[in-house]
Amino acid sequence: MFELILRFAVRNPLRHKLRSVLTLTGIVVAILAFGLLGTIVSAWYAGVNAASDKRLVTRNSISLTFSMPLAYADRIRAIEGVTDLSWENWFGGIYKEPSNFFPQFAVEPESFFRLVPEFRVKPDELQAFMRDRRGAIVGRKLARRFGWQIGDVIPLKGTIFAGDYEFVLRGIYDGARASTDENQFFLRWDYLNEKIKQLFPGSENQVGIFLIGIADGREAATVSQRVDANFRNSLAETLTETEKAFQLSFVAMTGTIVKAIQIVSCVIIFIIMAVMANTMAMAARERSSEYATLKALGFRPWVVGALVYAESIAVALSAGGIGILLTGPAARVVGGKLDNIFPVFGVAPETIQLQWAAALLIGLVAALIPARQAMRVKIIEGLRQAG
Amino acid sequence: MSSRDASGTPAPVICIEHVSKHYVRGQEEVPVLADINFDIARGEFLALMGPSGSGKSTLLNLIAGLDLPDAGSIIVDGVDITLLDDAGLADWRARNIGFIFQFYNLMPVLTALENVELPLQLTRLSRRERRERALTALALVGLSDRVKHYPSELSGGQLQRVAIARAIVSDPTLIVADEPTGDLDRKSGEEVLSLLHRLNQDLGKTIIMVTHDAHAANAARAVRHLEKGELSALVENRQ
Repeated sequence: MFELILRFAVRNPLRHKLRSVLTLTGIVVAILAFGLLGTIVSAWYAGVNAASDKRLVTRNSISLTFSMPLAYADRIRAIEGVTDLSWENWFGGIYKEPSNFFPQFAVEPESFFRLVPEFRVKPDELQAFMRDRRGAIVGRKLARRFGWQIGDVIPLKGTIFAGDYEFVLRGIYDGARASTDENQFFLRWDYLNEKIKQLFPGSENQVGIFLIGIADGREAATVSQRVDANFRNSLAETLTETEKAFQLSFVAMTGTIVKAIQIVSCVIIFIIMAVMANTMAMAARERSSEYATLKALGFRPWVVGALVYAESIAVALSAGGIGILLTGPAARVVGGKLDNIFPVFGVAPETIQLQWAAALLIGLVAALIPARQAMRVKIIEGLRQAG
Repeated sequence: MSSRDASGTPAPVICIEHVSKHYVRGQEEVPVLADINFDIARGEFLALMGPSGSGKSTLLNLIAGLDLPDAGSIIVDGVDITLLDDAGLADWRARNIGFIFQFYNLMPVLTALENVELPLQLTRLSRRERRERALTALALVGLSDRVKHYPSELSGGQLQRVAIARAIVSDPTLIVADEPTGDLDRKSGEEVLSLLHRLNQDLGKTIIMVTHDAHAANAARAVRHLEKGELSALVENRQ
């Protein structure tokens, strides 16, 4: 019986080729769009997913825009459970045009790349960065985007720390994982601090965030509490959280956009579900005499219903498969265009699973009413429609 | 059930007792059959004739278990089919009835062989056995060279022969044919009638054929006329 149902499921869609092709195309586009939107949402969370559970981030408890004294570093190092420490400031410079945006951080050169091993820098390049106070290390994708080579001088116009800066590219890092952001620009914190001292006396020795290394991720909450307790009732009280929570707070700021994208994804699937249901209803109506004949021959109504379901699922899964196959190349094209917004833009396995699930859902839901109609076809009335 | 009674007359395979049927059209009740009583002997080839709307197709549908009467009983091979539920009727039809329709009612996406094999999907036969039986049935109707053809690749006469092969493949108790030559040209119609005649004569199949064509009715062994819901006496045809 299964073989018979399969035979009908494969051959029936070929009866109206144009209609099937149009429906198939619609589902392909819907699944592709669903996958791309899902990939955008994943890209939004890329920073969160790439975060380490063995790193904590300490910031000023009022806001990220408020800084903390560098003097906190020694006190944090002394806290039980802290194994390593680095610090950084957001630089926010402009490279030629404001549209050439990429994240720039002034980092403590010695500890930063030790604490963030997923940014892989060749030892000689790291040494060169350590030796040159105007040195910079950038991600592979960023270097490729602007065609930078080691030794190039990169001018940046400071916005937060006004002034013209020139950095010498000393290293290019590669991400340890596919999800590692390779679009970042790192300059030396001590160089920036020196500049601040000259340009804005009294504003030096301030840190945006402290990056804390811990030995065991399970101790994150305890160590966080110890750090914050240490600076309670000080001028700059701190808020310490895991790197993941810190990244999530950024995503939360744009949560409405993510929600909107997710709603659009669902709407697309819903629309194509209605289109597919219409196609299946038309097909079921046209075939009522065949269903009546099958029932006259002794086939039970569930077999007739199974024929509709099988056909609907076969069409939806075939189209879904094509859509999924196209998602990878399409994501590469879209990702290339959105490189400066989404540094990590790849189709996640979870997205592909969701695409398959959506295709299956389209097939199942679209067949719901037509299958019920087919099962209820009255033999006598159905047979009258033959001829 | 013995095949002949004490007088030597073949025992009835179908007993229709006090069968009535009406349809509802809008607010109106339209009687179609009124207190029909008759038997059909095993191995009979009966033509049911009558004008349009006389109730002959309705009677055929009742005998084939496609519809249920308002009153009366229809006993086929000892089973009162009016007492069966939908599932029971479906199983009963699969085992006992071979259908031949005016417009063939073949599945367009299945080949001739697959169409003939269709009723055997409801049996416990293996795939090989099903195939062998379907091939034998197609050979019997002279279509061994068309087994892989789809309905769209066959002529009207060939389509009806495929339908006949499908009707006999499961060796049913009864073959019901509703205007089997109604959509065919004269030559193809003759071929189909000759085939039905052979099935009855050579294989002893019990056949009930509904037709409004006197020429087609002549191919049967006996004829009954149905008019305004009432059935005439049996008229034997000279063969």
